Amino acid sequence: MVAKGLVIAFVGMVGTLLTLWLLTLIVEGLKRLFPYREEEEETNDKGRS
Amino acid sequence: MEEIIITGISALTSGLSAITIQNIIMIAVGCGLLYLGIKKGYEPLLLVPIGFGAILVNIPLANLMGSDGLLRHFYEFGVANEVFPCLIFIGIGAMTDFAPLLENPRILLLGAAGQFGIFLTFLIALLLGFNLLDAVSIGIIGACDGPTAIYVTSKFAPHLLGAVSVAAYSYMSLVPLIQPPIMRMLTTKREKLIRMEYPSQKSVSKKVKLLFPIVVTIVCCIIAPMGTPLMGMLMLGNLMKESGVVARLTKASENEIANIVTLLLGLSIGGTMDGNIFLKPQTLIVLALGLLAICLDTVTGVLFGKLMCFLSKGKINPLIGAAGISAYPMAARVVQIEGRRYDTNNWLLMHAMGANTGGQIGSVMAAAIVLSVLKGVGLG
Repeated sequence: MVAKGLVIAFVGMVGTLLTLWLLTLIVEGLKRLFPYREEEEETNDKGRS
Repeated sequence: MEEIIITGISALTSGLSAITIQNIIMIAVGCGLLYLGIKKGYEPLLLVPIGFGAILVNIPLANLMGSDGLLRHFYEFGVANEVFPCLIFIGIGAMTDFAPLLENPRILLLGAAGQFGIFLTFLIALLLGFNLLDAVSIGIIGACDGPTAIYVTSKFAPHLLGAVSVAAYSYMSLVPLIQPPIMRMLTTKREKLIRMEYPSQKSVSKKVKLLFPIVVTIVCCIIAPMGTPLMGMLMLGNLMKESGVVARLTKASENEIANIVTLLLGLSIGGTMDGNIFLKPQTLIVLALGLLAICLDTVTGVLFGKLMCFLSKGKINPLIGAAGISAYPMAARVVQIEGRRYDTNNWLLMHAMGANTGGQIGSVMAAAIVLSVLKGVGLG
């Protein structure tokens, strides 16, 4: 059972770290794809209000 | 006539004669939780209903957790089928601002490191003789995230639900006492003094904020499908907030729904604290391991922060690693206070908030991965 536990712990730690690293890359990509533009954001905000 | 009076009086005293020492102890524990919630202000929204539920369930002959008892209905309605934790997650998502995290996405990794305590405690629980499912439920206290702990425990070890949820919520409120000594011990004065840069202008567009919850849901749920209810609800709440087009639903999620569910969830958890079931050495071990889990989370978070500090050539203050444990937003505030103890002009709050929201995603992801792995080995 301890061997099974070690596998679960290892997969859990590595899996969590890799998934969040992947999310980091995706967010960086999204930021490059849709950069912040002040004018556009202001228009969006006005449209909403 | 005399006989009727005696029978009537004895009926009134039957509750007193049926009370056990375990009931008395748990009523005292319930009062203690009420004291912590009301007088000390530790997580009152949960400790008050939990404490009162603990008192109610220990009233002899009232049988509130019996098959027809009121607390049993609440429990079956929302805890046994994991509905309440998921509903609370919609509210949490609607209340969370991921902007600090999106400004500096690298600190999302701290949210992963802050969950390692879950797995280390899980291994320790296994070594202490708990079975796999119990050990997972104990380790998950380290998620420092009440709904996640309740979700996992109600699935795998419902008999530990009372102990796990009390530990999760009470330790979460004790984060300002638990974390600082560990943070001080693991960082040098030079590291504590590191000031982190703030972006000179905003770098996250509305489109990125909108796409973030959708992308996180798709990616995380494909990797660990068993966590879809938790991650899905968290991100749905956030999408509603960021879209701005469903203000009524967002408001209801962060207020009415979250409040009602919190009340019923607290009472249901209190209902699991029947002295005759709850009072056993195992409960004390669970509470001790829960504390250990949060300490280990802090240790791994700060150590990972030190690694990132080294790799970034001193641009990241390792103290923010402590905020990777979730416990939103207490852990971030602790980091800010600790940073300012050594440099009154050091503003770490925004970065710590980023790590803290990363911790929220990390804790759900860690739970989702464990659920999926257990399912994979035929235990889920």
